Amino acid sequence: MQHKVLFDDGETQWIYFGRDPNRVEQVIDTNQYVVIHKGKAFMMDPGGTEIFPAVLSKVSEFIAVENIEGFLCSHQDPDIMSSLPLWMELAPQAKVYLSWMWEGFVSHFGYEFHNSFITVKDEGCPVSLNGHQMQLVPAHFMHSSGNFHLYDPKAKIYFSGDVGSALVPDGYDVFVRDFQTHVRFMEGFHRRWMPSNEAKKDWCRRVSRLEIDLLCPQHGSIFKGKDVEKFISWLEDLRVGAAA
Amino acid sequence: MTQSLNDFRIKVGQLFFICNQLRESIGRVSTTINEIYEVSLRSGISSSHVEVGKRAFNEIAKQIASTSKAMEEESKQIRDIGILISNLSLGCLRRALQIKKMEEARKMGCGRNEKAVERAIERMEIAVFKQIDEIEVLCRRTNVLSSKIAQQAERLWSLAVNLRMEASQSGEEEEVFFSNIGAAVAAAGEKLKAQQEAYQGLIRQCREIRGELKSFQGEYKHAA
Repeated sequence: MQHKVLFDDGETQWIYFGRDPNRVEQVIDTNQYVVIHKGKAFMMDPGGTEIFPAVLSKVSEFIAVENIEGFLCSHQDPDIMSSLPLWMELAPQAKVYLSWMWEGFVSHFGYEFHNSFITVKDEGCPVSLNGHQMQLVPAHFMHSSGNFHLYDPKAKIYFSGDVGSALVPDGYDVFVRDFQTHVRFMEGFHRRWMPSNEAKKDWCRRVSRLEIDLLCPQHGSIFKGKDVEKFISWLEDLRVGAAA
Repeated sequence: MTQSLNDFRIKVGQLFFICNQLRESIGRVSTTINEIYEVSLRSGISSSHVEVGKRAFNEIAKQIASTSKAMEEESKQIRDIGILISNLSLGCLRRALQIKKMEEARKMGCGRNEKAVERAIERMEIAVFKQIDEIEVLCRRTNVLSSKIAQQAERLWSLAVNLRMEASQSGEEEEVFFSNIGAAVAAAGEKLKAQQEAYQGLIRQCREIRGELKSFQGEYKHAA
């Protein structure tokens, strides 16, 4: 499994994990992100059960499980967090942030760690990692009806869940190198997965106000610099919620 | 250890399968007991309307009703135990899959988290065997309850024979009615006997697998 340090100012680090070459082809490739601040860690969409061994093995190069303070489940899909019971077995001290909508649903993956849930209201909430302030940003209907992204104003990194996702071929670059070429890998995904034009416009309006250097989706490649703006305006113009 | 872990998972899968069959089987036993209970209630109500000179009907019907009531209570208990057994076996299956994934991670190398992973596997293994032991305890309890139900079924069967005999010496209308009730109780009793045999077979299979699973206990610790 590959990793890339996305941000490091000596105090805070953002690390990407993904593009596992040993992943079985039936399992969709996913990106996992960890933010570390003064030795404590927060993990975004820890991934599915199938990739848990590879993610844990790689993450272990950077953090001890007892230092994981929290997990974000951007929404309820199995590729997002079916590994959660395994992580919670290793890091029972961690809190799990998820939409209030999915509390009872996610418990189907294992109700034992239900007490660790922090159910987030629709408007989102701040997240503090060992004093490092981040924000859970509402992204409902993008694509899930209860969906949150995470914004780190210090690192200027926006974790965008399935927004910006692309179904890229094996060996594809972790960063978007040519936006126009990349569109072909994400257009179909967004048309089909994002159900609401209204919610999409609302999200674009909200996110374009933020200062973002890196936009990090859960599948595909990371948008950097000008490509972040390009992506938001491309999405704004895209008609979504169509099956064909 | 990999082969051994695979065998362990397969066995836990078998246990889960058998335990679910067991729950269904217990459900069938329970349904039959409810059928008997309803028939006996009918006979109780009807016998109370039989003329005073034929109190024997009333007495037999009362005994059928009280025996089947007791059976129904045992059946409720056994049904709850069946659900518990099935849930425990599901817990074992989930844990066995989790152990597999943890073990895969350990093999890939977990650096600073090596010890934490080993401890987690050990904890999960202990949890699996605790649940397997609980299944065994519950199987024993179902055996006790099942013997009680079998005794009650025998008693019901002989009461049904008495009822039919009594009915044959009565008036035509009563004969037909109570013969039918007696026949229904007897038929349900036979059905119950067959269902109990099937369920006892599953209990035996469940205990056999449990015995095989116990041979894996502590193996991870030794291999690690």
